[in-house]
Amino acid sequence: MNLNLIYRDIKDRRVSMFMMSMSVLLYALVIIAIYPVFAGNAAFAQIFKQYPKALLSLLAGGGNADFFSPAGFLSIEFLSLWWPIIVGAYVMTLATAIVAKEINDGTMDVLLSQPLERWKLMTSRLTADITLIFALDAVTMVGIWLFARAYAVEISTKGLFATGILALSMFIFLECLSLFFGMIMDRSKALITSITVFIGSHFLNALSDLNKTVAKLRWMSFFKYYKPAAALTTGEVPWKDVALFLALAAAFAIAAYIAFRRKDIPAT
Amino acid sequence: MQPPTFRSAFTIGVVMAVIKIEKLTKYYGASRGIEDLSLEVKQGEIFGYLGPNGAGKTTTIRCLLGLIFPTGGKATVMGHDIVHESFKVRQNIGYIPGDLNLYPKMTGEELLEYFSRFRPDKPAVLKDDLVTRFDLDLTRKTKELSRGNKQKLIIILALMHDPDLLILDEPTLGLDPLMQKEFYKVLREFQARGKTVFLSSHILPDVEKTCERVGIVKEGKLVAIEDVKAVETKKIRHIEVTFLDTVKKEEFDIDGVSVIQANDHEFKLKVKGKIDPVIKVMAKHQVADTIIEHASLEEIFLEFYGEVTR
Ligand SMILES: Nc1ncnc2c1ncn2[C@@H]1O[C@H](COP(=O)(O)OP(=O)(O)OP(=O)(O)O)[C@@H](O)[C@H]1O
Ligand SMILES: [Mg+2]
Repeated sequence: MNLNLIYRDIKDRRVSMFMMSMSVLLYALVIIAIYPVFAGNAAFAQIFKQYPKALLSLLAGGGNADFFSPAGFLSIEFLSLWWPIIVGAYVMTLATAIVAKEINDGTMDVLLSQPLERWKLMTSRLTADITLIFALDAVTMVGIWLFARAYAVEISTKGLFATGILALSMFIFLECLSLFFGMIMDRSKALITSITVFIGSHFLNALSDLNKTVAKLRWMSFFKYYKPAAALTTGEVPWKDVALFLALAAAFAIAAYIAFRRKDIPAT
Repeated sequence: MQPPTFRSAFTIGVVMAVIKIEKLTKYYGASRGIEDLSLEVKQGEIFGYLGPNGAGKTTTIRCLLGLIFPTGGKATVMGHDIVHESFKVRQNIGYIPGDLNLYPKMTGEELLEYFSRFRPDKPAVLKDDLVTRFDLDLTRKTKELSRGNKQKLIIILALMHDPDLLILDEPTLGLDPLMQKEFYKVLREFQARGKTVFLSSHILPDVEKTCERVGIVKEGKLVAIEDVKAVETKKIRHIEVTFLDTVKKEEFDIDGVSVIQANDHEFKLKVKGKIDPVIKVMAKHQVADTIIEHASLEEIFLEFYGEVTR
């Protein structure tokens, strides 16, 4: 582990982290502030009852969540799709900055000419990124907890904790996936590929509700294993899904290192 | 200054090869980088690595640094294998890359500080001295620096921890003549302290002033290793001279001199090797004007090493 790299990376992300935290908190605040209005309005409820489940799932994720419970509403409107999109995009930019960005910018030459092992470079930056992801995840959950208290919306602390753990493992998986893509292709391609996997996973998951054939492929979508509504409602950490995400993350991190170990750093 | 220390490979009395390259080959997919290149650089010398564009200089250097991996052959630097012990190799090297890219938002000071922290055991002892000598403003962000000032920064970065070996890929690119002079002076001071310099360039006059030996690389192959003095005899100059009086063409019947173009007053000459006899002839007449130019490396290659590689 190289503290110099970790420190620098976190320091460099101060501004973007602040912006990310603010947007996520603002989003959470709006959703929670709306809930009492929504729940108290019978006409709204009527309209949403008429929506086909699959369409809701496509637009907002959330699977079989109950739209009219606080936990279900928060999942569908925020935690199932839009929050992962916002944070996921950030995670992808972090992950592809570990190696691909510096190769792109041509700064990798000087960095790797220092006495710094490649595995240390990768693991240090991965550590820095996971720290940031954890912080963003925690900020979100603590924010929701506070807003929920403020607006008297019933969200359990245990549920938030469970969701936070599940989300953390899912984002770590995304981080390692993008890191791997960043090792085998240039940065813009790695970003596009990551985004494609993300969107593809979402559609695969959502369309599985509609179509039996598609449903057979559902296991390939990582959204199948990310169910915040359940975690939020039951307050139980879905350890199996968490373990799956972390195992996949480890596999992609190892693959990334194997690709990086003897990778030619192209001159710019 | 301290004498150089080489852990395993330095034996007293024998000048060891600081860089030892054996049949090193690098293909980028199907395209040739370098091929079967062998070369030794001795401790304490300034070795010039010379070749035209695309010859393979940068490829060789980036292999030594472990930035790219050879497809064949092997090499050691200070006794350490460049592939398997790259970390040890890099511990004691100062490197100036051919392509210059720095973190745009960092100031010079921050950049030097950041990189020096990767070498906790080798403090940046020469930093202040180098900053003064190269007259660089460290408070500015690197993106605001001119090409030449960026180059100064990377020179300071490579040299400040006083490494035992300098590997420099066209280090004077962008420096003005005064700074180039200062830079070569610094290199000679490194040499005086027993350190070794490996320096690539495609400008012959630059290299010959500083180096004792040069390796000449062409199309990925080493075509010659020569003492600089020997290269001197292979130097080609183009002379254009205008006389006020009439001069006979026969007067330039000198070994190594060919008359390219001539009338009574104006001559174009190509001089291989020593220039002195030509100057002596010119001095017998009234010279109105003269231009003397060094031939490009490419021309020298064509002339002397043209048939060596195919
Ligand atoms: N990433 C790459 N992919 C394919 N070919 C490459 C790559 N890098 C270098 N080459 C080829 O390898 C050969 C040697 O290139 P290299 O950059 O080592 O030359 P050089 O001597 O440093 O030239 P210059 O004086 O222009 O810097 C060239 O023919 C070049 O086309
Ligand atoms: Mg080059």
